[in-house]
Amino acid sequence: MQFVREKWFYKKFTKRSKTIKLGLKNLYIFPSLYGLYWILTIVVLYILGTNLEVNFTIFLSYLMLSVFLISIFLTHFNLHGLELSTTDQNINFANTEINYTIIINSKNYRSNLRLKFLNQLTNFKSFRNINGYKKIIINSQKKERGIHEPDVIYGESSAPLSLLNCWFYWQPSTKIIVAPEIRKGKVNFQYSSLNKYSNISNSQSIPGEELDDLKAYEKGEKKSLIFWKLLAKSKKLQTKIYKTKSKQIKILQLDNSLPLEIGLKNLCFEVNDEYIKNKYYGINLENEVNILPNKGYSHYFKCLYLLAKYKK
Amino acid sequence: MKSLKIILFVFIVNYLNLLFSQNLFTIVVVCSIVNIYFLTRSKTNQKQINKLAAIEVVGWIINTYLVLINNFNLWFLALNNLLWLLTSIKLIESKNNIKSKNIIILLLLSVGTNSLFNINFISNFLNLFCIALLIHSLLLINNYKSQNFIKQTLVLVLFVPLTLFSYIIIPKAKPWLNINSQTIAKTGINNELKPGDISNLAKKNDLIGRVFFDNKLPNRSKRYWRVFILDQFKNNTWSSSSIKDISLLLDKSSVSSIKNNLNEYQSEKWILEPSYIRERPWSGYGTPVEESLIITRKGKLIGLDELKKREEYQISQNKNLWRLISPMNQKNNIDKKNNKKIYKLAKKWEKESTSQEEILNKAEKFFKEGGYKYSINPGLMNKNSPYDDFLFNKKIGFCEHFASSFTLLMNHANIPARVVVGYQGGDPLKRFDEKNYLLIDSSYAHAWSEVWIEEKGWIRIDPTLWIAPERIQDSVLLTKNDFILQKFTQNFKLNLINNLSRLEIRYKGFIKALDFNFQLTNFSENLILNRLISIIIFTFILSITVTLLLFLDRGSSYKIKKININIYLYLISKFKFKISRGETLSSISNRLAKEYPKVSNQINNILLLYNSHLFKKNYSNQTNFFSLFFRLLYLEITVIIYIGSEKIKMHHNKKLKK
Repeated sequence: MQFVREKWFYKKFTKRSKTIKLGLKNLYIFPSLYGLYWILTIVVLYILGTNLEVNFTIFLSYLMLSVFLISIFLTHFNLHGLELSTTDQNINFANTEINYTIIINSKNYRSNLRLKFLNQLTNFKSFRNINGYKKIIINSQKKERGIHEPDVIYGESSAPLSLLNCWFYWQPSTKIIVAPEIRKGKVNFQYSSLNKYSNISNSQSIPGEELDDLKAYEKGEKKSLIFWKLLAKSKKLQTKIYKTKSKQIKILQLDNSLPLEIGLKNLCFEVNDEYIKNKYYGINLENEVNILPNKGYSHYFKCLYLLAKYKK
Repeated sequence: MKSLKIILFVFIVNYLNLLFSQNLFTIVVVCSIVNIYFLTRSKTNQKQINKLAAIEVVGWIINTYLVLINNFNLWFLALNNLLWLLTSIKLIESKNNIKSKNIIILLLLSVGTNSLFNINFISNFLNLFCIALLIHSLLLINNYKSQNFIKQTLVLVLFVPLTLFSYIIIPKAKPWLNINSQTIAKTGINNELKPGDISNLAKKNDLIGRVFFDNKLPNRSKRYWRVFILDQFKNNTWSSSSIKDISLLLDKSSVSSIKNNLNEYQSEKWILEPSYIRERPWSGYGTPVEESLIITRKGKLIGLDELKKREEYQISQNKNLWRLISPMNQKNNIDKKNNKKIYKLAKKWEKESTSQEEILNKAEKFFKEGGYKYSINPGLMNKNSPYDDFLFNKKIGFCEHFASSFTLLMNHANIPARVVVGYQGGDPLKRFDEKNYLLIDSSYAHAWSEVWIEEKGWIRIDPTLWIAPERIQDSVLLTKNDFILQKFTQNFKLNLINNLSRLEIRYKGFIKALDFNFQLTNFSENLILNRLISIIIFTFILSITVTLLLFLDRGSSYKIKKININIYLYLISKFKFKISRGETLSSISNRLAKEYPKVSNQINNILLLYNSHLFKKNYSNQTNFFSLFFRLLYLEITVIIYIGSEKIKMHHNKKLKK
């Protein structure tokens, strides 16, 4: 069965797609090693039974043959109709094992499915029972920084009798984002006032921060910042300005004295650190390659995505 | 772990089956027990297993060598023993989780080859049971759906129709390898007799057959069951002469006028175990009812083929005349080179006597007064002249020594004589219907003589009777063991054999009556059409089996319920009850309940049951689903039967009005 993992073989059968529904066109079946032993046993018993004219032994060989024939269908229908699709991928880091998320959707009960990326040293991911909708992660081997096309996913199942292997190939279309490796090191950064970035100061209140000043309401400002109590008293529409840590907002920059990759690794560490500490941060790589300060997962994702594809 | 327990159970069942049928070498018996011990021990590492395997295989080689130098025909049994030994070693490995799947293949192969040696009904039944368990454990290893045994048994049952159909429809190939059938079967006695053959056989107690009688059992001294007639003596071996022993077609002129007691027995009925020989045992009186059996001129009962499965045959009370057929060229068949002392003695008797009776009397006196001893272990005789050695030196022998040397003496003294090999005696037992019968096993193997006396024909003379009369008159065997447990197990085995053989014979009769094979294999006169129809039926059965297996899917319980309710609604619509498109089950049920108030409870219950379980996919166990399904089915059948009967009543009333 080694040939199924050879590129010259599977290249013909793989197509890049977002979803794949397993059926007659993309499922392949062949006796497993155990199945070949089974066939050998059938042949031995048939030869012995025929030549020594013992009906029971011939009957036994026929029984084993029927089990094998029926097993072809059972093994095929164990995967037939199974739907696999890709979904939004998490950010992975260079030189660490990559997690690739896919969705398995099955209307029926299926058993013993194994999945892995072809020709990679990673182990098979096994699923004993599949029924309904399931999000799963397949591991891929370490990759360099960048945006990568995923490799071919190879899935197989020999259920229910292990006599045959039913397998499929699938090349998912959703790309793998690999951010630089996280490494602590020298990074340039500058502090900037939060007010400078109106989109942040106007749109977000920072809980637990002290009220500093009031200003007249301008159209477009966030309603949660309006000083409602004052409106009730004086009927003036004023918005609150808080005492912010605007001085502490970091704009991360590459250290030009370092090689690009090392600089990016250091930057990646800082981004990750700021994200964990739930702080505001921004990135400024070049004049037009920058990300305004913000926080949260989507901002973190944006930053890492930028680092991943920078100059690639 | 559950599958390993099942595998161990199958192993032990097969082990006992082989042990009781005496198809295991001593070394394999011991080693298998050792291996089971290691299997039950908590830890045995691979190195220890390898050492153990090496020691056991060496033991097997020595044992095989010792067995094969005595009887080379046992080479195939030796190989089967090796397979069994390896299986038991692999079983220890499977405990260490080294692919326990492989042990299933090995066990399947072992069961298949075991059935070559042990082809009786009980053994086949056990083997079939073991195979079902093995496939079940394979499904367990692969986590096939539920672990519910009933459901998995159903899975196994679904394999049967396809197997049976392919077994019947696929033409059987003819044997192409020249494997001697003796390599796999115990033939018991055979058509050659050397000193020691019968005593070796009498040490075993394999079942040969059972013989039933209409009324009383024959006297003990008359229970002789003949199988082979050996009338040629060459190289110290008795065998059947090359003259073709043709079927008995008596020409009246060739038969002398003497009629002796030709009809001594009332009809006898045999149930014979497989022996792989054409010859069938019989008393020598009467003629066979079955056309497939014939009596030869020497008085042998032979069938068309070697006996490969249990057979039932009956001997009627009609007379037969083989005893009156004179011997042909008997003298030329007897080798005079060896055993010269016997030759000299016989010639002396011939000279001194005037009649055949006188020679016979001299022989009787010689044996009775010669100080001979009857023993099952007479020891080895001189290779060149074994019968001289026995008769004049050792004077200790088993029946074959007495019969052979007596027959030699008679032939040298110019009285045509031959050795008859068969069985003498039998255990008297009662059948389920209180009928008496004799059970004959190989410990009753016996050899005696027949001499041709002018004007009397072939007369049976048993020299053993002169030496050990208790063996013949009281059926006392030297090998009989009166140990209680042994008796108990033998009786248990016999009861089982009796009951199962009754079943088997009835089943065979049923198949014969149906002529199953013929009808299925010949759909039409045209061979191609036959094959085509066979393929279509095969495909049909295959697809049904696969569909049913897929239908057993847990996820499909919803579909099953839906199909069920659709059939119910379809049947109701057939009773002129209009169901509009898109109408819900509750509205249909309401209308139906109004129309048939007597079954309104059942109709509402169907609705409730269906709705409450409609989307319940995960039943805690399979029995829950089945109980729901059958309750639903019961209610539906009640409603449909009621509506149907009401419709019939209405129709009847309308007719009456008209």
